[in-house]
Amino acid sequence: MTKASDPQAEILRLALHAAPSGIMVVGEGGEIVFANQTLADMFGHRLQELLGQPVEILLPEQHGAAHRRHVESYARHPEPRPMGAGKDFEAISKDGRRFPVEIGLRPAPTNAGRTVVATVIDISQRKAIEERLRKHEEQLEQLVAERTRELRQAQLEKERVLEHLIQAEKMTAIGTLVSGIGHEINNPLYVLSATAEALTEEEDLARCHAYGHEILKQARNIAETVKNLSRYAQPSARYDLQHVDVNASISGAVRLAKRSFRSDGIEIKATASPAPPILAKPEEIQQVVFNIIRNGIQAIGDKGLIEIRTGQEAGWVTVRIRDTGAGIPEEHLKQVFDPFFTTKGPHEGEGLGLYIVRQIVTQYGGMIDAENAVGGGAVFVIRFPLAGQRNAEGRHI
Amino acid sequence: MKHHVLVLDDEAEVRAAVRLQLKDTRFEILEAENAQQAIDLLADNAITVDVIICDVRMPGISGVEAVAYFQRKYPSTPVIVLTGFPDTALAVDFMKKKDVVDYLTKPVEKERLIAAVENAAKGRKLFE
Repeated sequence: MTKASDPQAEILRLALHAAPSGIMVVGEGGEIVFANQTLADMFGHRLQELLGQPVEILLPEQHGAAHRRHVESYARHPEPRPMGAGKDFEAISKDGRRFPVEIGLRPAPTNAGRTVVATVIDISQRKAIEERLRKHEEQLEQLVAERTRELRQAQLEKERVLEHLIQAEKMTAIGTLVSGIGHEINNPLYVLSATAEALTEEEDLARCHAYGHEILKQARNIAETVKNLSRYAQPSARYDLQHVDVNASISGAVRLAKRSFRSDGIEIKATASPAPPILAKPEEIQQVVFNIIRNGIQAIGDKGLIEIRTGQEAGWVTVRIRDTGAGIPEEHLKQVFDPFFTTKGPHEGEGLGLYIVRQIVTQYGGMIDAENAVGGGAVFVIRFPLAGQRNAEGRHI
Repeated sequence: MKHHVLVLDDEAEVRAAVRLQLKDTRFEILEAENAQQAIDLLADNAITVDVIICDVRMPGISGVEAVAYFQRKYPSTPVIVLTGFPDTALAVDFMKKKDVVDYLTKPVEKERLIAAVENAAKGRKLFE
């Protein structure tokens, strides 16, 4: 370049050379007619070396031919092509180092013919950052996938342990029940054996028949009790749902509770209102009521009352169970149904009783709430959907 | 003179079973399905009750309360507990207080029941 005597041109020249991007002007024949210092530095050439050279010296050899085609096609449709709009190119420096560049093109017709102004940016750093980001992203995704897998594993493990403990809790409850059931079995067993004793000594045929019938009846009583007990112990499966009369389940639970606990000072009063049937396993509904009664008896201590009322709300059968215990501290109201939440001593249960209650209730599309009664004590309100209604998940139950 | 055994149990079938087991003895059976009926029968001067057979778990006044009442009001009338709810702690409790002369669990065999009633009637207490 010749020294410009025009100060305006000199300023322009300085500005061009100081630009952060490489800038060159390519003549009609593909020769470099101008390059700024930035471009020369980028490619490791001296400025003077570049002028007049075919632009291909800036490209790796194998790209040369392709580039010439580009040039020709660009010459036919010269459109401004801003930075980033085209493909990234690979460029080559004087010492053979290859590096990625982004090129912007702008046709510039001059007196000397159609030239093109090319802006070149070395994007190796950007590429490196992009690559690093991509790797980071990959690592992150992998990490997330791993953590998700671990969490799922932990969740499965938790569910398995819980299932196990629920079964254990049921067995504990059965322990309590068994002593109660002892009565349910021993009474008919006594009647049965006393009748059998009489039968062995009886000569009157008609009386023998009557004794025989009595024995059969008592044997059936016992069988029914045993069947009920073994069904109670089974892990819950979603088959054999029946139309369940909630009032009957309540009576059953009350009877069991009265037999199971030494609680002579505690009255259990069930007021049954007619209630349409719900679809469930009867022994599970009985267990729900039994567990809440047990909870109430433990809350009451020596003397008190447990009141059970059935009712109906649009589409629901409701069961309200109230005890005259100390009630539930406000901060515990939300936790009472959580697994292992207990305020009892170490030998009074695992804290799964009410959790099981909620599991059963929600399994049938029902709801349960714990509240404190206005007159003191706790109230549990259970709502079961009527048989034939849809439950919350839209399943037909 | 008739000898009476008062059977207090909330289940009619159980009372009938006791009746069946004691049918060939010298005792006549009186039945009460709750403590109040038993109290009324005991208060009836026309009847002498020799032995009381009493259940433990009953609705209303429980067997434990009933036994305590009998012991207070009729200390010379022996009480046999007949329960379907074997409860060692309760049995020990009864023994210590000497409120009952025998503690039987259902199902009890005929011979055992007859022996218990005979012993009670003769004034032989098991826990002495």
